[in-house]
Amino acid sequence: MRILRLVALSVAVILPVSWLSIVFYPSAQDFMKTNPFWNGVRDFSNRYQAEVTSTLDKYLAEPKGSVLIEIPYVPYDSQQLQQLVAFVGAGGTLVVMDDFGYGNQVLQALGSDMEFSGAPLLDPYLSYRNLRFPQIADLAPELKGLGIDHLTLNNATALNVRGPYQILAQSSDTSFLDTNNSATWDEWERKGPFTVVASTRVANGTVVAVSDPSILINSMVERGDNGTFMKWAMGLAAGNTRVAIDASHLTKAPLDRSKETWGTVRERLDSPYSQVLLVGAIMSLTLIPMWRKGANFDQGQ
Amino acid sequence: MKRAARLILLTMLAVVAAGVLPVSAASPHENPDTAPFVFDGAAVLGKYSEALDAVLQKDSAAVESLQGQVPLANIPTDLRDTVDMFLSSGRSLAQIVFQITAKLDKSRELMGQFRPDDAQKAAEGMQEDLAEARSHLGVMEDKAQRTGQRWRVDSATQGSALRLAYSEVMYRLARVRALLDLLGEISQSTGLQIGKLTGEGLTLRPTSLTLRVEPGAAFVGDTVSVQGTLRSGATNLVGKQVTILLDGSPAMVVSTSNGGGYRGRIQLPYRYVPEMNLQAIYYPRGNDIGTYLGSSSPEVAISVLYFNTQLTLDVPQGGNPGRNLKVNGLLYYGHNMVPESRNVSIYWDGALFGEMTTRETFSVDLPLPADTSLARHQLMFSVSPQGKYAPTQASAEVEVSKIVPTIVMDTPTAVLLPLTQYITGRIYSPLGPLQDTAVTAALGDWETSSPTSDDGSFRLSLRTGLVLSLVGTQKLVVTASPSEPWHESASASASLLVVNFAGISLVFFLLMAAAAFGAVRLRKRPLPAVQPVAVTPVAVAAADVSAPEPIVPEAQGTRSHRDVMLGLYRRTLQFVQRVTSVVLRPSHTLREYADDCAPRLGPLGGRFREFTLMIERLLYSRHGAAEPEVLRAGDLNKGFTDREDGGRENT
Repeated sequence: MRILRLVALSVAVILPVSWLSIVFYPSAQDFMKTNPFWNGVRDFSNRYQAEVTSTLDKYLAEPKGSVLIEIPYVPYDSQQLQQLVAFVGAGGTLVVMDDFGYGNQVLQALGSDMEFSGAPLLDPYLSYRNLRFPQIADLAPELKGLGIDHLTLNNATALNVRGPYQILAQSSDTSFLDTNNSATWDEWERKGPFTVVASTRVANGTVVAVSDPSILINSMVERGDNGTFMKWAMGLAAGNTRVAIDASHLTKAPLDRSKETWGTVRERLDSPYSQVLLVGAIMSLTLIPMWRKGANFDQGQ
Repeated sequence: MKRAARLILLTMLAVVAAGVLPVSAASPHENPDTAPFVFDGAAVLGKYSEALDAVLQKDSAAVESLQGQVPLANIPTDLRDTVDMFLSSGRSLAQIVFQITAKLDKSRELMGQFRPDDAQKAAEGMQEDLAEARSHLGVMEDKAQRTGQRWRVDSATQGSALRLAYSEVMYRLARVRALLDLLGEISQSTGLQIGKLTGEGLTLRPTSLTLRVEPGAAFVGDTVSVQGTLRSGATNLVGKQVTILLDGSPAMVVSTSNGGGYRGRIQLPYRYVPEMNLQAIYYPRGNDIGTYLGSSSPEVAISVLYFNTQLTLDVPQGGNPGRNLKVNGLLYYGHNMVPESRNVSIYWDGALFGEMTTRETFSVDLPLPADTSLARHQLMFSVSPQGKYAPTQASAEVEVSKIVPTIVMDTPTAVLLPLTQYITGRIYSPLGPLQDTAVTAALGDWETSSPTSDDGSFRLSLRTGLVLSLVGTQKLVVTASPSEPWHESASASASLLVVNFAGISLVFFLLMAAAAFGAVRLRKRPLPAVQPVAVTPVAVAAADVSAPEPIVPEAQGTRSHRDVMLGLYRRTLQFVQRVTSVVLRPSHTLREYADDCAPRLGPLGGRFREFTLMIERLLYSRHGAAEPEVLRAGDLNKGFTDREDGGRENT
């Protein structure tokens, strides 16, 4: 009995504390919407009304006017890849932002010859603070026309582009791919310029490949003209644009998973049926003890 | 049971914590606001070379483009203006060189048309242009030197990337100066020609110049033959000087021989670039001024060949101060012939660490100094150019850290003070046992030390003393201070139960003594005298029951009404206590006590309540006791004494 009482007490304390932590404790994980720190995407999400979600059904169902941002840090299964192909095929805009993740899986599934190099793109001259923050000033006229002067990347890679793709941004000729991670240019390492943003039409949709997802994070989104660039990318979808960042392929901490689960629960509770059920359950729980007391009273009489 | 409960609680906490606590994963980016500033002098100087190449090609747009990059470039703030001025002067210089060349071409063309006045007009301001160009070049030289000083090129070692980049800039500056000198000579010649043409009414004969370079591809350092013909119409010009330009700057001067032909050999500089351009130019000198017009040949590109060298390093990721860092390397030449030897310079954080000669593979032990800072260091191997073999370099990052030894110790679970304690143990690291390492053990204020033996073991005898505390836990800290620079100091601790045996004995003795002394004193103390009770109405029924003193005070001295009433109540109280077995506690008020006892007293309960209220009024108000109240008190008390007496009679 004492153990049961202890367990009950622990549950009574831990559950509310956990719930409060899940709801109010901010995430510190990369690319999380609830992360207000330098590596979250809260600013981007708020400013551009971009939903960070793992449930992409409504976007996949209505590809036209939808922009889906993929940050592929978790591998895809074949069904997920098929969904993306169908999304683009039906007129959706897919922005694949990757550096050292699984972006090539997506590009290959779309039948693209583009690929993410996977080697760090460093620039010892045109960079912010140090060579890991390349500044990209070689931009396509359509970006320049929007007043975009340069992009600032953060630990990026490059795109290997073979084929009729629209090159939208390239690194400088002092940049190089640091294949041996020595942080200096070695004789055999390729020198720039390298493509960092390219786009192509696939069926009825558009695919934009960006070789650095970090331009979305709070500390980068307003650096250089990264924000304007993302605004342009989101404007690629015609009509009333809906923007979503696919959170299902981001690496998550346990807190983020808990937040996500809570989000799902809350979403489900939002439906009228769920609310009726919930009210019914609460009423039942409240009234059962009273019914029992009433029964005992009757028996006593 | 308790253990099970704890286990459940801990498990639940762990599960919940795992669900809510944030975990930071490996990050694919870094915080731009806290990222370190790292500037690359070689990259900045590389841009200077690019700008100078553009000047030689008279391409001011290219220099302007480089200048446009400056706001985005990673340049130290104190150098930003210098770089900007270098490029600004470069852009102006490229424009001026272009203008001078255009003026010369136009002037030459007009002279060919025998329009000396127009030629004069076209050539106007050339000397001023040249002066301005030299001024810009002066600014560029000055800024290049300042940049070199900012990066301390002088203290950079030969062969370092910075030194090489600076040399390239200086080489190009010299070439631009040579170009300006050449343009000055041509300009002077043109001016003289125009003068002669105007004064003497001469007709200038146009010239044509050809250039052939053989072979079309050559290794660096090899010589290529240049040949061509200088003609004026159908006439071969003999004994005229032709200047050969290599990548825009003068490389050699040859004279035409019979038939107007010229021939020469130029050694390709050891610049490992894919292509070089050659051009021949002729401008009249001496007696030719006023006779011939100058001319230039088309540019001829020559493919530059050299053997690429690839250097691969096998460097351990980590190193330790004071120990050797073993580096293996491989120089790969593809299908090309392997040279006899190559000079390799080794740089540690940009400073020359050592030099060696090798051929294809090498294995070198780099002794890291004992005072090497514990951080990531840059190790670079630079292979110098050697003839046809291009230079190469490879680098790696080495994390220098100290090895933390492991201390295994055997300590007593409890320490009895003030006895000597023995602590034994062993110290080792991945490199083996630590020999002759100073080991110190500290427990509170007591400390002892001793060196380890050959097998890394130690035995410390820790002499303890007396302290004020009797018993408690204390931390024993064993610290190892290795003499080797690659080992970090390490410490291990254990929480020991410290029992102050001597102190406890002393305190026990003192307590016993105090107790004994107290007992003796108590035995000798006289018992207090009992005050006789002078007033009736009834005798004390049971003297063995003691009434609570603080609540109902004893009557003292001459007995007043109040004393009588109190005495009667005390007796009643004794009776009630005995009958009901309810003890009057200090926390009880009289009224509470009466309320507690009343149900057990039956019909007497009411009387007892009444009596209690009377006494309360007497005790806690200013109301004095009057005769009727004393009588009533006697009456109430009688009810109890009668019952008591009746009880006795029955027994």
